[in-house]
Amino acid sequence: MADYETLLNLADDEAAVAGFLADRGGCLVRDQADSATYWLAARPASAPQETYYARVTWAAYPHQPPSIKFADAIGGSVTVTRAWPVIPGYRSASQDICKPMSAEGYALHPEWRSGPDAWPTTGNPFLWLAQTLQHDLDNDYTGRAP
Amino acid sequence: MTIRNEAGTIRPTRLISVLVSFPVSKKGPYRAQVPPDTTTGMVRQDAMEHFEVSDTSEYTYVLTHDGQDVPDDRTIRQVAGEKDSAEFRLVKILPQG
Repeated sequence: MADYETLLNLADDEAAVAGFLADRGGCLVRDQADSATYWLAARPASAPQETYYARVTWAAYPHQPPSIKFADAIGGSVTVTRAWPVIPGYRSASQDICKPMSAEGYALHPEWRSGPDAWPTTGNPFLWLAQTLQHDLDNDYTGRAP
Repeated sequence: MTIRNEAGTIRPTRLISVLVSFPVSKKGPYRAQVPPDTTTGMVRQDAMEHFEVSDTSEYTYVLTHDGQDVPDDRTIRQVAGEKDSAEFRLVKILPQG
């Protein structure tokens, strides 16, 4: 369970994330059982009929990157390969995003933890994360994982 | 604002308001009023200076407009169309492992 500071910081930043996703045809839902977990629904610009659901779980916001998994629905299973978009660095087989934006990516590449690839802790990192996910969907998406 | 064309004629030109947001900065959005023939590359560089970030050999930053990457050689006129303003997001292109 995340600490109280994390929950307060998330409460401060979530409205901007919800607004951004809504402008792009998506939405943000806070998990009912875990207040530090959010479900982001987003659509690629090239395939607006496809909706992807990212489960974003924060351990210490804004200090640490979140775990990111794709699910088959809001509140759904995070073990479904077809829930993942095909985007470079988004690995449906191992179910992780191997980029300096997720806890899974930083675990695989400890060298990212410092220097230019370090997790950003200023401003609104949650919004930055949502914009990065949407950017990847809009510009690097080639389909749904098999 | 006025500009002088190649024939030496002075004619008025409108300025276009640009706004660039970058959520993980200590500073607020970058705002400027620029002539329509300003390239988005020039705006990107000025915005990056404002946000105190820079391209490196490992990663770059791009401007996006309506979700799509904008090449550096576009003009603000091309992006804004008939509007008097254009909003962009500065996006860091992350490396992949």
